[in-house]
Amino acid sequence: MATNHTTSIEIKHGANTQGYFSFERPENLIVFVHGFGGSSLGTWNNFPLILLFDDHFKNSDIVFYGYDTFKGQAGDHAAELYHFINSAWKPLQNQILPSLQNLPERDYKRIVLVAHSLGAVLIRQAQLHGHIAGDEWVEKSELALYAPAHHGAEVISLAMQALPGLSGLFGLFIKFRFPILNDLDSKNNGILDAIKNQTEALQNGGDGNFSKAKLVVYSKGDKVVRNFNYLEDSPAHVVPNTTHISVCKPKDDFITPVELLKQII
Amino acid sequence: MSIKAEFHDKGKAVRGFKNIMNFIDSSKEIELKELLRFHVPNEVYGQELIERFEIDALLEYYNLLLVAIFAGYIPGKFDEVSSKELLTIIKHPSVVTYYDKHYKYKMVSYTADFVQKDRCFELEGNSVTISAFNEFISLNRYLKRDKDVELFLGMLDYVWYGDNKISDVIKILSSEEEINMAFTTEPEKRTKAQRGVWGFLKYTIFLSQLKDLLHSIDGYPLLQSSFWMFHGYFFERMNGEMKNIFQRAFENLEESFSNPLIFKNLIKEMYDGEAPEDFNEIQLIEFAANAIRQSRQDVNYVLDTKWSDPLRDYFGY
Repeated sequence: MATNHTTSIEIKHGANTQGYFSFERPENLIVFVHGFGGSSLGTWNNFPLILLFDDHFKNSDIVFYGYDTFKGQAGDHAAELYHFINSAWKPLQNQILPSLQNLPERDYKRIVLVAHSLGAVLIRQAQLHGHIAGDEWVEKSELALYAPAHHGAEVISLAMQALPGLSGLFGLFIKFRFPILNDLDSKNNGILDAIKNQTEALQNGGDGNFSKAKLVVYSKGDKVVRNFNYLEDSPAHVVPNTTHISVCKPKDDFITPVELLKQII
Repeated sequence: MSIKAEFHDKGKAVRGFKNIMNFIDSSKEIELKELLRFHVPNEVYGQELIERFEIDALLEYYNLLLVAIFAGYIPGKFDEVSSKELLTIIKHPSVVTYYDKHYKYKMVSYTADFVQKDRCFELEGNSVTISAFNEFISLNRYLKRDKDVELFLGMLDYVWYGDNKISDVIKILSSEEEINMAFTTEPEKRTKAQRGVWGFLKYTIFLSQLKDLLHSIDGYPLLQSSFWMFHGYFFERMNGEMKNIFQRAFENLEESFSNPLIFKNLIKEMYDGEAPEDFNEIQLIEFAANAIRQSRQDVNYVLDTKWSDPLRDYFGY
């Protein structure tokens, strides 16, 4: 069975970030950003499996971005993500696409930023960084958000649900001594307010089209984040019988997350 | 081939390749034998250790090719160029002694056998097997890049880091107070033993994810076996020790988290003794017990030596 993309290419940004580069001439760069306790691939379950074998995505380079949620604040990770996206816009020139793969430099028409939970906060902040810097990719970027935590999160529930295996145990035990959880605490004024204020100002000024999410997906009855509209985002798709964690994880008998993403690609 | 470009032509593997070919082409038999010696009585450290790790990375690449064949990711046999290179290196007497006697790593023998007997494994790669292969690569990268995991695996292999060793990690897990210290100390100030606790934690996460991965390819026993044997240095060679260490670690954890003081101290520390209304101690105790139980089951599932059987039977060992 021929594949449309390269093998998993290690990308030395973030933590365990990896890319699958199209053998065709790609028009899109799709970047997946996980949430608290997630990992570059693990968060997305069958997404890689489906995307890499679906001709719908053969003209897309696909990157699964990872970062260490046990360290650093949301602002730290957002800044690093911003620098990565900036470099990924010209991946060959910036050695994200290794020259050994013998593929040409990319000329993306669009970059789709796909995020779960906390990842939504990071990509919103990264976009704002890019807008302030006047970067070319920002106006060509679009947001696809699964269970976004841009209104904050119930951190106890998040830690218990999001941290895999024994890390969940230690997470609750040390009461979330992960700085990034402070950023997400809905009782805490900080990065969330800053992002929202800047985004609102942009949208009210007629700018900031890039900040209006094209796809928003809620888990019905989500116990971790609050499901209400964020500024001028597209109306959400509500998926029943899922949790905050599972809503972004397609599997054999649940391909809704992929079908929704396909609608905007 | 994108897999060769990614895993052979850069990093440690390409340096290992250039180094070992230099030895072979220059007929430096004694020097190569010395580099690949057993570490007792003459320890291996410094530049020699770096060169050994680079050769290890090259051997791992060859093993990865065999895994890729069983996944249907690449055609059913090694191409002529790879075969020739592989046999030159893997069948060199000093290299054979290295992986077959000094540090027994059977997967390399299987790879050598596959190429030497010009075997062919016909499997049409499909979305399940190729996706599993990609996930396998991702999990391996996670292991290789994490310094805490590297330290923990070193400790498992009975490496001492100063005065810190594996028994110190197990001891920390038996004390609620020590666990708290390990997790609240700033990363740069952690002792090696505390970092070992982090490594233990992350390694159990890896094992849980590997368990899910093995489960996802239930209809492909040779692929399951090749994933397992790829990690055979620890899973097979050190199987007994690993089971023993993890059993003690989980017993200590269960004891620590069954102590009612643990959550009372948490409340005292975090909420000045006044827990918020939604703080549910019963729920947290149950959560803790479930998390430990699940991790223990995952580790036992992965460390079952039955996973070595399909490859052993295929190669007729």
